[in-house]
Amino acid sequence: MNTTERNAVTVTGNPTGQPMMFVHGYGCDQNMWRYVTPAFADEYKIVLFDHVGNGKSDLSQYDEKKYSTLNGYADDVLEIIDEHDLRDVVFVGHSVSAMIGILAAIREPERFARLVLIGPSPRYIDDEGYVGGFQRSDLEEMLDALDSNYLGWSAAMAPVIMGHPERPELGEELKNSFCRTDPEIARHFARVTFLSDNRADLPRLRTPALVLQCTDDVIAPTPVGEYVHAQLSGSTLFYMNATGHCPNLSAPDETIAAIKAYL
Amino acid sequence: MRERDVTQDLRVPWEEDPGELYEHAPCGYLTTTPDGTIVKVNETFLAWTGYTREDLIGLRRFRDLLSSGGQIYHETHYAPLLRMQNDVHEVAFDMVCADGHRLPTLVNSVLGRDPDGLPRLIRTTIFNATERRGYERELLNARRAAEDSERRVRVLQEIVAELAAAPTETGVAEALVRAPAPAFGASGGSVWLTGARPGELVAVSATDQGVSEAAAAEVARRGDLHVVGAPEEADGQLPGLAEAMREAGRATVVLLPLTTGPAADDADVRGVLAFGFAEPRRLSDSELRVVRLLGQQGGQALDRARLYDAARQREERAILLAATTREMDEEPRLTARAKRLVERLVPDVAEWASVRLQVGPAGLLAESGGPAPDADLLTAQIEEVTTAGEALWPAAGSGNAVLPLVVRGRVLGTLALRTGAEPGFLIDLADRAALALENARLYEQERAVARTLQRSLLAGTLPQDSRFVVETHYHAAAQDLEVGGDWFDAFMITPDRLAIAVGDVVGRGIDAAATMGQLRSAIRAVASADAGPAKVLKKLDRFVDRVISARMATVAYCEVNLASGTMTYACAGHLPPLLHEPATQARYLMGARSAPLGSRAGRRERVEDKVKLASGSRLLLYTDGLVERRNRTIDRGLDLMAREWARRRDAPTTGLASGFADLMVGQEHADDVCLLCLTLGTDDRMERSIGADPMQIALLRKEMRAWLASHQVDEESIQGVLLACSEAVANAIEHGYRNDPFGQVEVSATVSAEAVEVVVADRGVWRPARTDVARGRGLQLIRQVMDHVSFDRSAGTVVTMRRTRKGDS
Repeated sequence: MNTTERNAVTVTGNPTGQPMMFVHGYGCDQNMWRYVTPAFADEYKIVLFDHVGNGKSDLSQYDEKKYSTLNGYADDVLEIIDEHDLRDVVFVGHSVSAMIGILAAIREPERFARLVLIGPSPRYIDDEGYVGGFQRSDLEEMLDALDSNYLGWSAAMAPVIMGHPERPELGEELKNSFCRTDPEIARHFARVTFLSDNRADLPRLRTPALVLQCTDDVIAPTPVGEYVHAQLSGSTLFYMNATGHCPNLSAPDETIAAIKAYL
Repeated sequence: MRERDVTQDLRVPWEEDPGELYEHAPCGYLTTTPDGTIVKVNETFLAWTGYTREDLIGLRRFRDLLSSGGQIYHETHYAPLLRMQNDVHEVAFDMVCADGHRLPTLVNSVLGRDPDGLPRLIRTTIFNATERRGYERELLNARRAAEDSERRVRVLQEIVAELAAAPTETGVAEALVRAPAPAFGASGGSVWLTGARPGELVAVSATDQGVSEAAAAEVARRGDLHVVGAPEEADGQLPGLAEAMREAGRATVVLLPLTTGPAADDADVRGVLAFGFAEPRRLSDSELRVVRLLGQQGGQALDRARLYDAARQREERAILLAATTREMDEEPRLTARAKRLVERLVPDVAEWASVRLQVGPAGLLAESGGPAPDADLLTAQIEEVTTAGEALWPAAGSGNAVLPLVVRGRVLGTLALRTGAEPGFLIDLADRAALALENARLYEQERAVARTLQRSLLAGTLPQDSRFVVETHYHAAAQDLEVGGDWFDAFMITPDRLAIAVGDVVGRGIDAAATMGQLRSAIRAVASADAGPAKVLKKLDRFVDRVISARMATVAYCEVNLASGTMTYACAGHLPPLLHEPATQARYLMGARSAPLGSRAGRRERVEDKVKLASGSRLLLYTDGLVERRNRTIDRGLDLMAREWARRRDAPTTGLASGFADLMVGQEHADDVCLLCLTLGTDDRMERSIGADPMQIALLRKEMRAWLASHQVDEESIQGVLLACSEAVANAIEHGYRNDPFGQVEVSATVSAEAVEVVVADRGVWRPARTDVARGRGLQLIRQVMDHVSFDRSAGTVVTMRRTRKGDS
């Protein structure tokens, strides 16, 4: 298994440094770490990749069955770690990838030093005695929004973006080109993400973790961050001033500082 | 010409107020801080959404104006993109207006940064896209519908292809159970098939437990598609369904009858396919059409599979019947054939099988397998079946089936079996078995009749004459074949003319035997003193023109003139006669050959040939069974036979033919064989005149040995007589003629029932042996082996020797 091509893995930073793996969440790709990673590049070996179906990953490797649970994505994380023989990994996961990191660390704890969980949520849909923040109907609406915005996705453009991984400049020229992906895969990933329920997995994590909780995050509201912190023994909860769901983009400095302080 | 100045806006007659332009621009306009808090908004946006500035400025974020789904999209796509690219274009969002209604819009944003590159503000234009979004939504819905429909049609096509390829009902059920998941997003399925009994339903394949069997049975009875939207709907409608749905966590369940056609009224229900959904699911009309189509395709595939199963079983049965019949046919004998039958049936068809036939006083029984049923019960059943001529079927799948073996309305016997096979097949089997057994019975009967007829036809007495001996042998085939058409005959045409013939009629059985009889009579009728073999064959040709069954018959026909010792012969398509004369090699008489009787091809002209037969000659006429072997050529067979025949030149004529047949074909031979041996020169007196040459003695010995043998003289006596005779002749040559090559020695011998007498005479002058001890001892030898020796030297020397036939007594 060549994970480098499958997941468009890039390794930069300090070659002898402790590995630090940044993993994008739903809706984006490894570009979302552009304002954060430079701050760690001197000290750490920076490992970036795209989940299959996103960014510059190999779309032909997309297996609907494998990726119908978050465990399929956790498999990929472990395979990348194994192929690059990474140890003492600092795993920085955004959004759904926070949960993917937790699943991976439960399965092979010896690989992981620490987890940094940005906007984690074990379940997005409200349940009895649990506030996830969403109703099921919200998800359907979100899929509608996805479809509406993919009307502009033309079949002619897709091959340009997906067919030339060796010529990234072709993709760079396109507007709204970041984080684009095949609509079918985006729909499926959205369903898998927003219908996931990994609450039962949280207590099984033994790796120390930092939970970064933003202000006014509609995707992962504060009660959810607090729930995660309560379920993860040995975790640290840090409330950020940053608003929204992507502090790594909207408040990179605060994000960097919080991670550095933790490490 | 002055160039147009396009660096300035064209001046219009009225001044455009920039403030007015901002407020009433044909698009909504928002300015927000980087975290989305609204700091400026234009009138157009307020008019579209119904908000006031007080509602928005400093209080709300852009995000807050979006629907919940839009907010997720904003957070996961829009905001990250804007940060990374500094602008985002044409993103579709629904604005939630002050009164709660939604305004479809298209949104463009630009992120403004300060000189340090830090985000400062976001400018956003909002276009009312109600109509366009409506159109897009229609497009989207149409596309989704098309995609769904395409997916369902594709799945349906795949399923139909799978159904068509499924050779068995189970295969069809397995294909059906896989269908609902890809076609409708169902969580799995179950298939029940209707059983043999009305109302019976058999579960065959299931990946989903959300449906009760009782409910499926009810749906099968009703024959209608049932879509149950919630467990409560099932209460009181379909038995056990509500509980099954709750237990399996199914919100919606579909129960689809698998019918052989579209209308529930005339279509038969072959089974039920059920599948469920964890969440409440409404099926669209087009989906329902596909579901119904799936039901029909499934029903028809089941029908096909059932027909196929039935056809395959019929074919297997037919093959079994044919094989059984064929194997029985290989055994011509009745007992063996009945045995074959029961052995073929166990264990393929039955655990135990028995045939009882009412033939002969004791009847016939063949049995195979076990354990045998209660003998008394079986006897009673057999009696009942034999009397009534009706089969007895096992009660409720156990016990024995007893079938009458009926041929042409007559009950030949019974076939009893312990079997689960269906009655139709068993009746066929019994019919075939009865016919095969009856044929064997008839065959045995006919064969017996044919043998009897053949024996009676060939049994006529053969001519008895002192001048020759005719010996015949008919060797019936070892295997149970029908009687062949081989025949022989020997009769006197005149007191001095003997006719002998061996022939072969085409065909077997009673017909062949009868034809052989006719042909034999015909030869006797046409043979006459002035005819000769060629003429006889010509007349036979005319005869077979009338008797068609005799056409292509072969015959070797010889007439022997006993007075002159000559024989004329002719062969019509028959193997050549084998002749052995004393002191020569055996040889085939290859002259006078022509085509079989009545032949339309080959040499049809009838010819004859003549040979001189020395006394002691032995002639063999035979049919092809004697030399034909599958593993050797006929030439090799003929060579072998000639050698063997020569070796038997001195064998006693009694038993010569049967002994030779045994030697040539053995006991295990496949065909009938017919032989006729003629031994000539069996006079009780033999006279020879030989030159005074010792070499002649050897020839004389050979001839005399054959002559003596033909009179059944015992071997010890033959040895003695030959020794005495050759000593006497040697003495005559040596002492009578002193090696005079022109001298003649006369030898005459007579044989009677009591003694053999040999007289050796020469006309030379006797000279006593003075020096030759051996010759003197020769005289002593003669005295030792002969009972009486006398010398007469009145004219030459005459030695008279006599030996009593001790060995015969």
